[in-house]
Amino acid sequence: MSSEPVIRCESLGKYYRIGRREAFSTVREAIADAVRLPKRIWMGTHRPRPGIWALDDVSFEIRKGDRVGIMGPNGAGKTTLLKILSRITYPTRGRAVLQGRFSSMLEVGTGFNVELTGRENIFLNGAILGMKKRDIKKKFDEIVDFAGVEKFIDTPVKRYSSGMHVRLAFSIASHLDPEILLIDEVLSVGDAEFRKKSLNKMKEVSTREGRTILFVSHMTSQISSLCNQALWLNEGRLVRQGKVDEVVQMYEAALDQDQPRPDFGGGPERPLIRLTALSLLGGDGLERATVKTGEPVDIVAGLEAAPGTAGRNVLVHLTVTDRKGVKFFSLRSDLAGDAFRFSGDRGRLVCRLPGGLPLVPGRYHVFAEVGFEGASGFRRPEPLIVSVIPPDVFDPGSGLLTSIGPMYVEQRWSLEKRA
Amino acid sequence: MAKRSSETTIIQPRKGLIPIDFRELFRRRELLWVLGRRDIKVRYKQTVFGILWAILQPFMTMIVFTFFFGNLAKIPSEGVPYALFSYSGLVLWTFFTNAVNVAGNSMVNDAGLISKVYFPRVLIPFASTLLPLLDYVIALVIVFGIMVHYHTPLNPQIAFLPVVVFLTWILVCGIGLWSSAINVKYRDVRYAIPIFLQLMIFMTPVIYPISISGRFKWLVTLNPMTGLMEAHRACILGHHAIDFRLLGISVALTALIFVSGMFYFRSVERFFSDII
Repeated sequence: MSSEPVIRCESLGKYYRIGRREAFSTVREAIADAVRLPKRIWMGTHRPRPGIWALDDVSFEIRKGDRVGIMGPNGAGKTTLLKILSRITYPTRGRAVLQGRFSSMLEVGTGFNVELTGRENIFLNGAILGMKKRDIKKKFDEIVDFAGVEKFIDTPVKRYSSGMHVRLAFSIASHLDPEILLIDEVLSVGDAEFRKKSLNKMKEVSTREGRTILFVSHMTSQISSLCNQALWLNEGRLVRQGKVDEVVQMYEAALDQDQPRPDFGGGPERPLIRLTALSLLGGDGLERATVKTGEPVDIVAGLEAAPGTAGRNVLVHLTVTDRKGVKFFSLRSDLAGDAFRFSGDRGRLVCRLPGGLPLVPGRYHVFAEVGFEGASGFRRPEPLIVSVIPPDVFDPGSGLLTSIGPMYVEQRWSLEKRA
Repeated sequence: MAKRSSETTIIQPRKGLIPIDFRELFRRRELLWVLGRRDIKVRYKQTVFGILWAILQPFMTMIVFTFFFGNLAKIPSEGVPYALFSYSGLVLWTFFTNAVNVAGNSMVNDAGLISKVYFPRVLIPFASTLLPLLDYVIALVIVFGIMVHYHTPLNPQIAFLPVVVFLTWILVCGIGLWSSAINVKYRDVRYAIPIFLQLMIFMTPVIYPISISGRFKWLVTLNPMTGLMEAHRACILGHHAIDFRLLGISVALTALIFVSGMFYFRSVERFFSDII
């Protein structure tokens, strides 16, 4: 494997204006603003809109054949970096040089049209992603086979289940043939088995053909399994670049340190109990990132207690919010009146939801707080991210889901003759 | 086997006028057809009328106009039956207005693509005009039907028709470059375009010959569609020779709109994905 850099970034920076709901406006507003401007300058009330450096002075090099994971908390600039490298947006400062053909996947199934058949969408999506028609033709059977949708290939995609939809989209993308592939969190959708299959496929192609991969993810576990290198971003700046194990370890250690240190009775420096893991399990007991509305799930909190705390009652609060942090509901281990006596230093508390998550499809954050009874809570800043997809009972093409509000309450209707 | 490639991409802040990357456009030319075909397929799957729709729009307009302008107002039509005269103009006009409308909204409609994947953005407004172009070709078939009805013979000038249609397409793309780019930033533009187009039919010799415009002829001539419209009708009906002086003015205006549109589009393209 050669060591020539295929991506070189030199103090990349991206500045965004903030403070306005929509970036676009109307001619009417623009004229009104222009008319008011002299008065506001005269009165001294004019202030240029504030902004933020979403990416600030980021420099690094990536060598051919490396699979690089980009990690960092929300708002660290991971997606901005990927958008700049895939030329969707332009940097405000600095520059990046890429050697070789590259394509990017910021979303699964970009440009899919539900009216068109699976076959038509393969050619449409492939062309959008930059494949040539003859290359798509050559790989067509392989794509269909990998997605497992042979029987439905001439059916409009609007009749597909959401699983089939994701598998087809993903299959097209993983048959792309660039020298550099940029991927953003798309692996967080789809079922666990297919996700694993896709990860393996990408890894295999990368090692066999020396393809370079840049992969953004919230999940350090995914980064560890796909990548050999990692970049850690925080608040728009590059914190560290290096071997994946080292960077992941340091990142996770820093996350732990960042956590608030409430008084657990053991002094602010040493929490008596802390969260080691937070995960979502499907009915089959396997870890999931995607669930259907109303599908039974377990939310599992891994716990680690300081010595000498055996026998105390442990409390776990789980708060489900949307991506903007708007709270929907909390799940509390003490609500049912149960007391969980914690013995030993490690364990896990399982919250079973037989009726699943009563949420309409979308992405949600689950925040966890843990503590012993009688002491203040200990909140993990990094949420568990859950994608909720439509259950089978909905017609996926209907606009129903967005119009019913944020929650979906399980319901059974019947018509009765007498009032 | 790892393929060798010497392709180098430099990404840096973009300022000022940006030249058009023709090499890249050529490389991604397939996408133009793929996006155009998408619109065509979706339209013919969604509407029961499909092809009929393409014909009905200019045809119904022609019936109404023939009654009011031909029969009641008795607008002269250069010796051609008024129905044929107005329909041969209306097919091109329908193409022009439909294409300008869809091109203006095309960037906003494909916002999902723009914020998620890179490709030469100009392909979006260009591709959006292909469906109206197909509709035009279908509607044109009816023109020949009406000609048979009125026993109008074919004439050699028809060989020039593809050139006129191509020039109109370039004009539409040029206007589309301007309007789709402005529409990204100012979302009320899309409401202004249809109103503007509706009024423009009276500034264009679609349903009347340019000869009756009198002392306003200079004004009508400044409309880039005028020369194209007159030439289009002369190609089909052959009732007089193509006025190449008038067509020349249209070509010059078209070139101006298209080239300036390309530069304008390129210079604002860089912040499309940030604001769309």
